[in-house]
Amino acid sequence: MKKLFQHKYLFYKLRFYFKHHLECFLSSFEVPIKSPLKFIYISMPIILSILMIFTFFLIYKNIENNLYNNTQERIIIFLKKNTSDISVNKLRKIISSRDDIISVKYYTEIESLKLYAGGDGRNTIIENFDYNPLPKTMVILKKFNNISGEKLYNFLDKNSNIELYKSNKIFLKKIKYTKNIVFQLSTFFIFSLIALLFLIINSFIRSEAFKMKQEILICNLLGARSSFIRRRYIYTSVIYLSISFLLSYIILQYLFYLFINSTLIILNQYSADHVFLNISFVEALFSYFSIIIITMIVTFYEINKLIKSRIS
Amino acid sequence: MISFNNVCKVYSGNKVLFNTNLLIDKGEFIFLTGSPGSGKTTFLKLLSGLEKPNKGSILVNNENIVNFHHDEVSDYRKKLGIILQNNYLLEGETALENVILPLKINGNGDTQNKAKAVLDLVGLNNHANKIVNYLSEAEKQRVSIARALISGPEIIIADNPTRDLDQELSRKMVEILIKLSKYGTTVFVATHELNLVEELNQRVFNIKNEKIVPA
Repeated sequence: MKKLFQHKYLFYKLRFYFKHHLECFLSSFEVPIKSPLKFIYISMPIILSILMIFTFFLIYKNIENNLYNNTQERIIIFLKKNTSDISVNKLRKIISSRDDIISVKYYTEIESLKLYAGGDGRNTIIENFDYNPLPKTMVILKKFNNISGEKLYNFLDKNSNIELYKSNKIFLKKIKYTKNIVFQLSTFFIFSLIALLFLIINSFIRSEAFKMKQEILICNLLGARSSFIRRRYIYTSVIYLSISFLLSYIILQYLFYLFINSTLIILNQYSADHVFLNISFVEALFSYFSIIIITMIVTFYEINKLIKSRIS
Repeated sequence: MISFNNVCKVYSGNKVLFNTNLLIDKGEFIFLTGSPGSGKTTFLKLLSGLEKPNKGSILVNNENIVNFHHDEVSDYRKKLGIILQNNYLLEGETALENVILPLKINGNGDTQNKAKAVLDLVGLNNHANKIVNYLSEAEKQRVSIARALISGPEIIIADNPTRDLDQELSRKMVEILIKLSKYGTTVFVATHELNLVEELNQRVFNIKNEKIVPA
């Protein structure tokens, strides 16, 4: 009989425990549902911070992705007319033996002309020529490297078979410089905004908890355990942060859609190679859980501070 | 049984209680008297676990409440009915919601009927659904008393519970507490109203020169 009573008591306590969880969960939606404008006003700094973090993260990610293809240096060598096939092969062999060379392609005069004609609208230009203006050509693709690159250029300068050569080295240098600046700025802004978001969440929870100081003290006075007092505030802050995160994500997706639509027109005009990357599901989930964990820790700390404050 | 053994309490160099000893049986009704600042509130705070003594032990049912950690103090306080000078009510909630709060914390059922019955006992049945902020100080005081009574506490700790009440109401409220003590609740009432103390003829302790002595 005693055992049965104990089970009944346990069941009753469990029912109370889950009921309180449900009450706390439902009461957290009171402000967002009943007065959404007030909710947006309260959570605006959080929404903006999350949005900014995502924006800088996307900039970082897309620059990394789109500028990767441009990290290969391309050198076009125009050979002298009288260069023999043996000299060409010798030159090709010397260049290919270098570690930083990705590929070396050789084109005869006719092949060079075909290669040139491959471009849009150039066929009509060629048709008007009564002779082939293009020499034997060599196209080298190499890894972009400031130091080892100089040796190759010295060799090309001194080689008697080479009439002229062109490289995209300066363009790549500019791109690399810009990419580094954007990377550094994005990293700086991402970390600054994460710190700012932490401060905003902290002050948001502190002000919300301070408004409820009297209630916390009363519950403490009446014998409520710390976990019982904290439960409601943890639910409230987690729900608020979740809704703020969701709103930021929706706004970001809308802005991303607008950005892509407007830039696609420009990029297509210049036939530029591009792939725009969005925030992946894993990244979004990771960010969400990081924010929620921060929120829970801050709420736990702030409410505990109030629970331990003295009753006068 | 409640026993204070060599309890000392010092606030920033000022001794409030020094080597205080006291033994109270279950179901006793105690009046605590003494001049303002003599240490009545401190004594009640020590008993309710809101303060810890600098020295000594406080045994309640053979358990030293001084050694309790935070959650144990919370569980201990569930067995108490506390009425403090500052009423500590949820000003934005109704009287009924305030009275129900201890039951919600304890996870008890049938909260509404119990709360209404207790509010009826203190004469506030017509004010049950009024927001506390709009009640008079005397009514707030009675809400606070009702809240202390609702969970059927083992010990009632009342610091000046008749402060804002008229003589008739004061007597009525204290009589309720005396009645409860007859059912086994130990009651401590700190008061300045010596007339009431004399009139009701209960056990009285006086706090004087950092000691608790029978009056």
